[in-house]
Amino acid sequence: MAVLTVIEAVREAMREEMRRDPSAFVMGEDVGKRGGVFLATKDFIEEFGEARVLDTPLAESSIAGVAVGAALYGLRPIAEAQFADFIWPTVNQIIGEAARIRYGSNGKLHVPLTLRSPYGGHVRGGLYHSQSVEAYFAHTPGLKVVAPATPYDAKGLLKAAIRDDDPVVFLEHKRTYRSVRGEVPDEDYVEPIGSADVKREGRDLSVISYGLTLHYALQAAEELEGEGVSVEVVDLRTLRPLDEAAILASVRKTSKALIVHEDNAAVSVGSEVSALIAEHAFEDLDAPVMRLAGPEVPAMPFAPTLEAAYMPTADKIAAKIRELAAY
Amino acid sequence: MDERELQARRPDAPADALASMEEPALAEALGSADSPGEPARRPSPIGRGSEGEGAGADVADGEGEPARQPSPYGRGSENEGMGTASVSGASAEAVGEDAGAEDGDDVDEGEGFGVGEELTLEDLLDMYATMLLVRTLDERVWAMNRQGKAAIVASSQGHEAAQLASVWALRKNAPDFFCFPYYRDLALTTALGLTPLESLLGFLAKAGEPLSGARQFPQHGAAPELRFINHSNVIGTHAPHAVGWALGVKMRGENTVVGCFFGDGTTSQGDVHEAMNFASIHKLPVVFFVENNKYAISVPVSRQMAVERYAIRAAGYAMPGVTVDGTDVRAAYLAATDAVRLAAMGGGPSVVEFDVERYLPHTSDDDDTVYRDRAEIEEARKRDPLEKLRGLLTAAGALTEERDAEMRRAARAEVDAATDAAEAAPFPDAADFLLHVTAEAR
Repeated sequence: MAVLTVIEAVREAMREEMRRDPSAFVMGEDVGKRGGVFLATKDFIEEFGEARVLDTPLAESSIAGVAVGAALYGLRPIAEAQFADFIWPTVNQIIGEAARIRYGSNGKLHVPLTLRSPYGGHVRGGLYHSQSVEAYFAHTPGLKVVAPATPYDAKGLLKAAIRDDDPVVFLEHKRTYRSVRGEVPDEDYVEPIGSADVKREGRDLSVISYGLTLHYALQAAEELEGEGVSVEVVDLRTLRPLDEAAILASVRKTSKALIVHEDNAAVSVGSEVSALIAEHAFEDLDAPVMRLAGPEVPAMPFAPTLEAAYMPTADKIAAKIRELAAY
Repeated sequence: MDERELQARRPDAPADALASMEEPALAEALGSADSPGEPARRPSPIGRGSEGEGAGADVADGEGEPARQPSPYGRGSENEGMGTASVSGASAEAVGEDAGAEDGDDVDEGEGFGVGEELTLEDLLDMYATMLLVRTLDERVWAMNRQGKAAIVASSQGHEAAQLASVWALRKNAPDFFCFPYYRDLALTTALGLTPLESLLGFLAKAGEPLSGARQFPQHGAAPELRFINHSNVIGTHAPHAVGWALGVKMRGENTVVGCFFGDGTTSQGDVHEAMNFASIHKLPVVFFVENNKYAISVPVSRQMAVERYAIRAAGYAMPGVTVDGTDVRAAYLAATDAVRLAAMGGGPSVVEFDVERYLPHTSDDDDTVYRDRAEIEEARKRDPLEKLRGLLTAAGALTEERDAEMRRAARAEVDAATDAAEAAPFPDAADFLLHVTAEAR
């Protein structure tokens, strides 16, 4: 097995799918000769030509909207919003249109569209290059929202997203792009959308997370192991639909749940997971469900001290685990 | 910085991993994201010239394109005796002339595009029959709205000629055409094959409604088997969809044309701008048909745009743009045909602006008496497309009073039967309403 970074896994997933399926193509800002600002489509234009590696004007609504039309026609567009912070002009097309087209046509149409976007902070991105946008999309029936944390998952889930017959918002945490490496099989594989993954087995409590904070949670769990606390770490991987069975199984096993994400807490993925546990595993709990999330400010600030204050780091997660373990 | 990197393995990533991470690529990304390539320049057929001068035939683009040749199929309104189009800047001819001037290797010389086909008397009689049917149906639905039976109706009255002419132009010149209409296109959907009963099932929200299973407003949903998708109530969102469809057409190497229809109000939406820009950059086979009835609900066109005619804006996208009398089926057909042929021959998108009238309020929920002078509507009634077409056919000796009365009776009988059947139909069974959210939730 090859060891890849997340961005390499993303690139390989798209390359393999475009080789496999002539209806798959990429479109977005700077995806052509530049190969994407994070190099997700590096060398694609040489292999696939500019018709399938489509540089678009800087206009996100039409990136999404033209992709919707191409998907209705029968192609499999892989559209890119260059940063999740720039994704808001697509909301009308993705939430207003793509998510509702199968339902609004009574099943006559479907939209096999993947919208990729680098999200998240801790990269000195400031207010407009750090945002977490997942909750807005995850709220919407008809959409699937995927947020992998590892190269293996990024590749397998992106291939699943491209093959999916419904619109998928595929969120890649930009700090994981080059900092997270992992083994990725050489052979073709697909990870199913809608399935969580227990990244670390434990007995005493469950930490449920995704994206960059999943790695911070694993680091904290390792630290707590030395203190005699056995922490299970569940990677949601897909934020819509949630893998309810996997979440509940872990909580029923450990009886305590801490939900961690970088996005702020109010009306978030953590809110939904918390409600799910309260509704279905109340009697299995030995402690209230706890959450550690970004603070209630509009976005992550730029200065390093302020950014550090924002982030749910491994230290903060470890402290919260101690609090929950002691309950 | 410590370059130790996080080793994330499947299935259980060890946690030791999270040491310091390598500097992210953000700075690099930021540094490179602000230098988009210049879009390729294309000559504008509109930028100069005036009516009657074959505007646009000789615009230099500075990139050494060969001089433009006259269109192989071009035809002007004057030699057809059809008296079209108030077209300025870009005349109706300009649409045609532009097409012949594109790069030879991606321009078909006109074979197979029905060059020379004109509207026959039979076509005009078919249009008239369809128009009668649609007008009868439209009036019926308004009556049923006032009876409390139809929740909402947006009328096509005053727009019918433009819609029918567009369908005829697409059908004759691009047999595999596809349409993205909007909510005021009852004549268009009927011409494409949606029956009065099917439309009435929608207006009454009854089971068996074919476009959305009565989940959506009337006329909304999809009928790909009839060549149209009209999904959204949000104006302008379908413009990029039409362009995306046309992109698919081009990528697959197919040869057809997409018609995208919207009103003057929609022209203000950013999606329309983005769609036109995208379509023109890639010379996609799409025609933007603007049904300008001069009102966006209550807002007159003078408060929507500072240009005198919407079609002027096409120049900004290096597209031909014409304004034509959309109450005259022949004028509308000629303009639509030129645009459709241009697109079909690889000449790219264009704008056809139909000058039409809205005889009724925006919808059955609107009260236009508070913003619109009755005298203005009476004046507009003089341009009634139905009366114009009747007069044309009568003058041509193709329509006698008896035949007209017979056609009206037939239209009424069809709408009566459809009304009875739609009223008798049940409402949809709520057992199915959770279906079709995603493929998994069928």
